This record gives sequence, C-alpha cells and structure tokens, in this order.
Amino acid sequence: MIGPADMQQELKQLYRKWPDIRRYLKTLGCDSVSAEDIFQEALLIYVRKRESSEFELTVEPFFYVRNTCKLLWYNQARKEQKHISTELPENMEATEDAWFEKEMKIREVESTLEKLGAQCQELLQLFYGLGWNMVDIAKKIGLRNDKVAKAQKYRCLQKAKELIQEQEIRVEPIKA
Amino acid sequence: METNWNQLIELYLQNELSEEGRAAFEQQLQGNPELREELEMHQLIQSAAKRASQRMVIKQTGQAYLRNLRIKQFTIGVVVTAATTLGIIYWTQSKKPVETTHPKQESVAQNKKEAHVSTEVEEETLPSGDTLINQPTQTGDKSSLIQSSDWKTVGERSTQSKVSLASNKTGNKVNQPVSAANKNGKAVLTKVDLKMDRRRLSLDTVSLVVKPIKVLAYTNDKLEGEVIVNNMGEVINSGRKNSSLIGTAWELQYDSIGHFNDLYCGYALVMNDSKFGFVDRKGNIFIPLIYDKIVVTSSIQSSKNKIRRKDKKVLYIPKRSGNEVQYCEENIHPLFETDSNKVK
Repeated sequence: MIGPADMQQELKQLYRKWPDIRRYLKTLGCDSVSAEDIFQEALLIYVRKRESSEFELTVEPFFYVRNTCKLLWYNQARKEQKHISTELPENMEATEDAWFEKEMKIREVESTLEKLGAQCQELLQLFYGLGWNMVDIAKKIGLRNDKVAKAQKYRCLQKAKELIQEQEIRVEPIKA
Repeated sequence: METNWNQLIELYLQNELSEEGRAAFEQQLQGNPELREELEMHQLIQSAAKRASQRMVIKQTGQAYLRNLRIKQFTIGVVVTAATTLGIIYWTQSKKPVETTHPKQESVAQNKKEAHVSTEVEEETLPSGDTLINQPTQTGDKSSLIQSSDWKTVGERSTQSKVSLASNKTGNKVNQPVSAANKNGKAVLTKVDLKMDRRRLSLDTVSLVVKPIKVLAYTNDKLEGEVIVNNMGEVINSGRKNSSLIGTAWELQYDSIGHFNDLYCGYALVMNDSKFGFVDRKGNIFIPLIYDKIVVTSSIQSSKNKIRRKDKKVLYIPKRSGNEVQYCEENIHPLFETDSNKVK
C-alpha cells in the first residue's frame, strides 16, 4: 500500500524513464503513438497493483513497468495481427492471471464510460476514484447540493449500465 | 424496485450496510443471480471510474514531465544560442587581426602545395625546371594577374605572428627575454611576439624607431622561413634560403615587398598604396610605383583585349620560359625591353 503523495512522486520518477521505455518499445516494433498509450497503461497497472495489498513488488518499479509494457504491446500486436508473436514467451501469459484479465475488463468499461457526459465522468471519478463526499462533489461540479449530486450519480450509473450492456450486445455476437 | 436494489448495492459496496443488512443482502445474493450480475456491474463501473481517475493523475504527471522537459530544453536552447551569438560576436571582432596574421602559416603551406603543382607541370615541359619554382602561375593558359589581392601577408606586427629577431650579440643589450644565447658568436635568434612596443624595447639603443614591416609575398612565391630583422631594423633575410643580404631600411618605405624574383629579372615587386612598381636589390626604384595591376602574360595583346578597364594602369610583363630566365640573369633584362613602351 502506498499513499497518494508517494505515488505521485514515484510516478514522476517513472516518467523520467519514459525515453528509455519508448526506445525499448520501438525495438519491439511499436510505433511512437501506441508506445505512449502503452506506457500510460503500464503505469496505470502499476499504480493499481501497488494498491492491492497482496501485491509484492519483487523487481524495481522501472523493470515492472517495462515488462508490463512489453506484455501490453504483445497483446496489442497479437490483436492487430500485425506482428508475429512467436517471440512471446509462453510463460508470460501464465503469469498473467485472473487479476490481469479482470483488469482488462475494467479497462474496457473505463473506455465505455468515456461516452458519458463530462459531468457524469467527473462525478463518478470523484466519488469512486478519489472518495470525495457528495457535498464537495456538488460544489466542485456546480450542482445545487449533495442531494442533487446523489440523484445525478444514480442517473449516471444508470446511463453507464446502459452503455455497457449496449457494448456487450454489440461485442458478444462477434466473439461467438 | 430497481433503484432500491441499486441503493442497496451501492451501500453494500461502500460497506455502509449494518451487520444485519449486510448478512441479509449476501443471502439475497446467493439466491439471486440477477442481483449478482447487477452487483458485478456496479463493481465494474466503480473500478472503471476509479481507474479513470487514476489515469487522470498519470496523465497530469506526464504532462508536467513533458512541460518540465520542454522548459529544460528551451532553457538549454536559449543558453546555447546566447553562447553561439557571443562566440560569433567575439569571432567577428577578433577576425580582422587574426585574418591578417594567420595566413602566414597558411600561405607557406599553400605555397608549398602550389610549388609542388608547378614543378609537376614543369617536369613535362622542362626537365630542369628548378629555376622556375619562384615564378608566378605559369601552369595555365591564362595570363597571370598580379593584384594586391593576390598578395599575402607573410609577417606583420601582431601578437600571433612570430618573427625571428636577430640581435647582434656584441652590439646592443637587448632588454627583452632572450631564450638562448648562441655560443658560436652567431646572431642570437629569438622568437618573440613582434609587438611594436617590444620592438621598440629591443631597439632602444638605436635611435631609429622602426616602422612595422609588412612583408608580402606573391602567393606563388615559395616561402620558407621567416622574415629576419636585425636590431638595426634591417631586413637581413626575407625568407629565401639562397638569397643574400638584400636591402636595408629602404624596405620600410613600402607597404609590401615581393621577392627578388627571377621572373622579374631579379627585381622585386613592391607595393605602396595599392600601386605597384619594381625595385632592384639595392632598393632603387626601377619602375615607379604607378601601376594598379601587373599582368604576366605570354600574349600581351590578348591580355590587353581582355582588360578593358581604362581607369587602371596596367603593366604587362611577358611570360617567359626557363631559357629566357637564364637569359635574364645575364643582366639583359628582356622583360622590360620587350615592354619598354609601357615603362615610361
């Protein structure tokens, strides 16, 4: 477990390694646009891993992030079928457990949430992400009071659910 | 009903249900797959929302990183630009003295190179071409033009050009640091920076205050060694190995003095205020310094046709081959005989 201030500090440290990681990803055949996305995603995974109590960091954060980048890139490349993933070590997938699978699911939902209005997004992020109380949120996003904010939150949730279901319906048949 | 469940789910996930409520809810979950699904959905949304907020933090960190990077790069850029500008300013300001003094070394190198070229050519035409080395360009078909721009400074008063000063050991006491005294009684050669004040210092026993000597040599002249000036201000040796003692302070009246060149029948080209003339070895003016340009050509007529500018006074000198140079050494001077109408 790690405090938000420390995390911020650690993120800064990791960002200094960004040029190294970019170079590394380029050697794997990754273009610079995807490289940035992948790096951000890897940092996100690292941050979220650090939050879960059972996670033990066995390597330097930099190497953890770099490995995650590699894995993410292989996953993406395989999906795009642009690059032959023969280099992908088999055991790598094995290490990627249920946690990672779930994480990818959450990632999908996260991108679905981006279709919500800006206010909804901010509200949900403040409430679930940063744990703000409804009074502060109401003030922050310009709602009359916490009750209105709470009602808005339910509406947002409802809308989010619809979007997700819509997404699943659209995605499932293709998978099948 | 659904919103009710929603509220319950939310409360459950926020861990805000009472002990009993929690137990009741979990029991409900057991028998209600729909509720489980709903709960899962909520969990997902919550996680996703949290993830989005974390992504925001990362993005902000990244932006801050890039901003700092750009500021750093900008600062470095500004510093580098400033340094370069200063460098250029310094360079342009110090360019003038450097330009006039540095070519000494360069011209020597260049002359060696050109001498090499000319000997190569002459080997084809004239096997015993050694006597021609000191001649200006004769390699091409075009006539050679001798202008002030063709001259290079060999040695001049400056901090950077080294001039050997020959000070007479027995003669005067020299105040400047003398590096080594030659025991053989020969002239002590001391390399000094030929600054004006230093020269005055070295010449303090002589009442003559020496005007700085600029010795120019035509670029194709073979230059070796340095100008050697003794403490009387006399030019002992203007560079050529074999040349004897040539001239005295008369050389000081000219802006520049060329070598006594076989091409010019042993006369030296002199320049003053961009006007050319010739002097003999004793410093007597042979051809007055009235010419703007001196052209060495094999065909005077064609050169005349080429040079149409009337405002310049041009002296044409016939280009001669090796035999004629020897001829010249017998004091017959065909050079000036053939163009005598131009002389006066």
